[in-house]
Amino acid sequence: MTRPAEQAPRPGGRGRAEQHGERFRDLRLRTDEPFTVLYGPGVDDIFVDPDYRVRGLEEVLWRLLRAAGYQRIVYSSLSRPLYFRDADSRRHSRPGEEGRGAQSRAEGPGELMRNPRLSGPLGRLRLGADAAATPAAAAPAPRSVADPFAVMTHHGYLRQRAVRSAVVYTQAAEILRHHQASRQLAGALADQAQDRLGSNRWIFVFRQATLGEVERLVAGQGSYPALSGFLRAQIEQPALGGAFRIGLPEDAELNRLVQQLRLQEGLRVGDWRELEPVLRSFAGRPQRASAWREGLRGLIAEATALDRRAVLDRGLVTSVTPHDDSPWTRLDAMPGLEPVKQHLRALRAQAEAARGLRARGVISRDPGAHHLLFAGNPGTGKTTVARLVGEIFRDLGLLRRGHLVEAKAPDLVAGFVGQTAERTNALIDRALDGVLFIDEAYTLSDQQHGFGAEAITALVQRMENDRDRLVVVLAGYPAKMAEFFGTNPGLKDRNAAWLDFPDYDPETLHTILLGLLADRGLRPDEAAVDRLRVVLAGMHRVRTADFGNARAVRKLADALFAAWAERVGEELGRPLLPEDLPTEYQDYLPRPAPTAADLLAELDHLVGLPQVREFLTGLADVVALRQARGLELAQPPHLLFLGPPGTGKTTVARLVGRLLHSLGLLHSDKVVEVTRAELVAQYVGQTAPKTQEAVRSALDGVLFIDEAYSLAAGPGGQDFGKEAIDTLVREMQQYPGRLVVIAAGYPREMREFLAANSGLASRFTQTLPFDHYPTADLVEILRRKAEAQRYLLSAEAAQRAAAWFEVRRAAQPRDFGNARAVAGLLQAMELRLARRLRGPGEQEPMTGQVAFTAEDVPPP
Amino acid sequence: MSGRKRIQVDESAWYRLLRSAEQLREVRRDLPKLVEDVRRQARVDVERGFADLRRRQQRSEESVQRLSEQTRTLEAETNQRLQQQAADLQRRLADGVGELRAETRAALDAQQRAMASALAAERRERIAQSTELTQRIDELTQDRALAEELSRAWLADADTMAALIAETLPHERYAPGELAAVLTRLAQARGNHELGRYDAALAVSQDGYHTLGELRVKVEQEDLARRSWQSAAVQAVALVELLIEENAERSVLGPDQREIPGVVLDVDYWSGGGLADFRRLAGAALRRARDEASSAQALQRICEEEAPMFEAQLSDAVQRAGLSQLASQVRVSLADEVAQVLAETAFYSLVDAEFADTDQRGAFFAKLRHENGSEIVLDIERAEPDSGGVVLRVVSLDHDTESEADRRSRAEAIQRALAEHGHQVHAPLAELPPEPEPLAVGEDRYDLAAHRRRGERSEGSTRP
Repeated sequence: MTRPAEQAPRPGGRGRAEQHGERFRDLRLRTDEPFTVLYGPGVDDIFVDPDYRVRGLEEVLWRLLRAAGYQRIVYSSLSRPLYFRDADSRRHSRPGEEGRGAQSRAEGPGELMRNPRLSGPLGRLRLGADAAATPAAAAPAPRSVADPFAVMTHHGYLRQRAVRSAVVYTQAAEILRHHQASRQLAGALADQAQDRLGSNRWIFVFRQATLGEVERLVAGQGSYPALSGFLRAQIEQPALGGAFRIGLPEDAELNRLVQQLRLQEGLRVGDWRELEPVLRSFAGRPQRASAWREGLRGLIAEATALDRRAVLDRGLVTSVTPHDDSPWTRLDAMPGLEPVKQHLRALRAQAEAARGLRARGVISRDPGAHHLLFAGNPGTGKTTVARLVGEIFRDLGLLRRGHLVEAKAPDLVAGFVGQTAERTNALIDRALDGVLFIDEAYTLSDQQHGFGAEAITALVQRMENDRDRLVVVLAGYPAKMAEFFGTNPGLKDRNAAWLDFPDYDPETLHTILLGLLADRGLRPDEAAVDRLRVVLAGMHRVRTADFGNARAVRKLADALFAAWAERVGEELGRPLLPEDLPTEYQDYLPRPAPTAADLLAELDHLVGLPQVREFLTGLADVVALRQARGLELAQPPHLLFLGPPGTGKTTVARLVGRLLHSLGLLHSDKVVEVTRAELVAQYVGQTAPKTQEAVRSALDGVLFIDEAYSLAAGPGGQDFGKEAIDTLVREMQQYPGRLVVIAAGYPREMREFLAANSGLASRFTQTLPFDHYPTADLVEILRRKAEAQRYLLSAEAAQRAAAWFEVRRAAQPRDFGNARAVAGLLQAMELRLARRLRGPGEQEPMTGQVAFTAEDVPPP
Repeated sequence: MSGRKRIQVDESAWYRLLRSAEQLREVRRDLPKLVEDVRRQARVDVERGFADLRRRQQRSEESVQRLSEQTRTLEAETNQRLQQQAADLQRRLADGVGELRAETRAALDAQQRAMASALAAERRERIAQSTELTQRIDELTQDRALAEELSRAWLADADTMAALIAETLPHERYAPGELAAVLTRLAQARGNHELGRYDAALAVSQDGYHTLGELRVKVEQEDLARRSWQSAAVQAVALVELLIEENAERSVLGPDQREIPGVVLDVDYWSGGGLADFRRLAGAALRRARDEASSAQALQRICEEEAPMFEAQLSDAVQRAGLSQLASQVRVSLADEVAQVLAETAFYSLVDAEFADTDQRGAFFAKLRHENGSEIVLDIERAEPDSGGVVLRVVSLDHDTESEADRRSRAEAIQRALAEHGHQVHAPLAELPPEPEPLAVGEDRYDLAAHRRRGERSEGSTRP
């Protein structure tokens, strides 16, 4: 296993990393910027320098500044507004002070003056309040510089060119907040911002995690516009280099920490082969070196050796790759994913070639970008692969740390203007030297107020600028990602490789499930194994765009475990049985096809419809045949119901849904009824999503479009009905076998509907005519409806009703409502019956059986 | 120029210094050595004075030899007494310099007086004896011849005594007109004698002689007393002179109460020339003490009043000089303190410092510079003479900003820092009442090079 820090030297950064540690590699102390602002999670940390010394930030900064040629380095904190860490800096500032302390303690008649230049008639003897009152041994507490003079002094140093000076505000936030001479400080800041005395440096150390927080804090003070203006500029243009984020330790530094603790505090390393994976797992967990040190000291205190087991037991990390494992082997172990493996193997070849060239002195200036786009449904291993990609890139020397930062759109987008870029940048900062994995990246397009676009812009910028330190993986559903990619050309140009993550096939899902069950301690018996295979095949068959793949399998595993646990109680040795399959999953099991008689039993409730009966009976027969022969079932056909209103189309559609489901041709028996209103929107661009939504709500069931012709025959030229039809066709194409569309309407108008899209007619393979009911059927329907309400229909009444239907049909042959006319007649008859029963002489009880008589049938 | 502010510095520190300067008041720190010096000086003086006395004694010895038998013994005894008394005084004076305190002086005086009265008593007794003898001769003999002889003898003795007094003793200083009065009476006696009135002559001449004898003793006594005072006065003033020289340079003690090596207190310089005045006054007093014309009272005053006063004043001057020096050091220390505060809180560095005109007794200036070119001058003056108060002005010369707000906030920061360090800061700059320009030199006040030039020109006049 290789050490990326050694194998991937970066021109320009190497020397500093060697001297001061990796975390300061990119700190630029020679910029044209008036200030340098340091921030980030590492500010309060300790740093293990390449010389294995543990230092605080103050000391590290001192070394950096001294190495950069600064002669005078001045610090300022809240309690000590002005102090030095070295004699040289002090000497540059306070000439003639050397050895003063010693002199004042010299042997003599009393305390001496502290200023060697001062001498009175009694020489340098000090007389006065203190000389008599204070014993010579107890030196007075050192005073600190008053704020007005601290600013005056800092400012003076910065303006002076003779001595290269750096002023470091180590507690910048506190100083700015509590400064007693904020007026002067603001003036000095403004001067510095204007003058840009390039050689001198004013450094602010903020404990805030992000530059945006720093900027808000400073802007919130309201007193230091020069500084907050500077900060805004740094946020907007990170390339200015005036702000530097101090991150968390990488494995090289953690290795030094371990070695330092080993040599100085007696930390033992258990298995040296495991040290590297342990360190790598450390580096993958963003945490301060001080926290790691505490954790490791815990090992020392318990006299435990550092190895994989120990760090896992103590919870220092949650996982450590065994030393004999590599991300490559884990990747190879993952089923499928050929395109991904192919891509990474190609990258390895490139990286090795580049390494070989580098050995010959050929160093490419352009590090190249390695961003990736993972297109696949949930649970197809995108996150796992992203994590492996981090480790692999790390091994290839393309990334230093290789940790994974997972994010979703809301993590990048903020609710207020201007904060999105900051939020995005903060997230990217965390992911630097590793992988930023943005799941459902396409949702960035959907964010409100255009903040998503702001995030994308910031992301694209960083993908370009930090391409040597950052791999961005954008993940999401293939179709949405394609759309997202298409609408953001900036992303396309950033060398993001498109990798497909296909859904797992049923067999893989089965393997995954068995693995998960084993992981939970469940032993399915043979029957259960087979049963689960069938269930998974069913799940796979009816999967939608958001099918969870491995995630859905995990859910199944959990459900199985719950059912099993409930059944076996304390007898944990019992195997998992087929009966443990929860009810909701039993739908996926094949059901025996209902017999023709069963089907007709459903149809028996209907009057007439001989062609419908014929069609459904035939379908049931075919299913029974194929099942008997062990063949896969055919896809259910889309249907056209042609006929006037009231001829039972809706009723039949519902029945068809139930029948197809009971035949096992559809996963669900739902029937979604829609009309034009549910498919077509009023504004441009809204129709397609509306139609899509309707189609998807009906998936695995029946979409019943009543009066479908109205889609084609919209008013005016600018009609969105056409768009709805086009979308419908596309969706039908996309979900073969998952959806049955039944389009219903008058035969003539439905011809126009089929003509609206060339693909439409070919998809509706089955047409069922719904003719007018013959009069006898109408009378029969009337009888059934009356009986349903506990009325009898006398023979005279039936006769008179038949006459009524005849007359009506003759009057309006096209618009005759058929079954709807029956309902109208029944209503009128009930009214007349009620009057008759209330009238004089009629004493029939109202509660018992009541029969319609001929006089109850109104005249037509 | 902006940011001038007065800061009165804490006085308690000053009082601490004041206590430590108290030791300076003790000007007689090395008394035995001083006394030895004075004693050596005094011996010469006393020796010189008593040489006169011895010459006089010799004359009086010779005179006594010329006296008649009747008075020779008496006068010889008196001589002996007087010589003994003088010798005694001489020895005491020469030896007792160290104890020249008032009480010692008084004791000496009393002793002298006792000796004088003893001598007088003895004389009175002897005179009474001789008078009785004379009367007895009168009664027994009534002999004119004897009377004549005795009268002549007394007259001759009186002449001898009168001559001795007139020639050797400063009788006119101590008993003006008395000798003349006696001589007048003796002239009467001589007239009576020549007229043969020997009895009358005898009585007057005898009385005259005794009066002369007493006059001699009195003058001798007075003279001895004055000599004693003179010697004491000379010694006292000489001691003061010595003390002046001895204290012209004092060593300086540090807070640890040990001498600071290499540091001296030049009392004359630090007291503003006070020591030179003392030298002049003490010289004059010494001349007066040595002047033979000075009266005993004057000498006594020199001894008992002037010399102690000089010493007290010297003590004051030394202390004042010491405090002045300490105050100067305090100013520099304050500059150091403030410079340190400014170095720490404002990052200014001290670049230059000087006393006004390089005179350490005056104001002290310290110049601090910031790397950006801004300057601060610390201007530290004594508030009033002999007070520990210091006026500190912090004068900011900001070259990097013209903003009043910036300057104000810096000035306030300085004040805060100084206050935190225990320097009383009275009021922020903005609330200070308007102040006059501190000195006529104006802007030049903070030109330290100019101060050095002026200091060089007047070198020697200010610095010793």
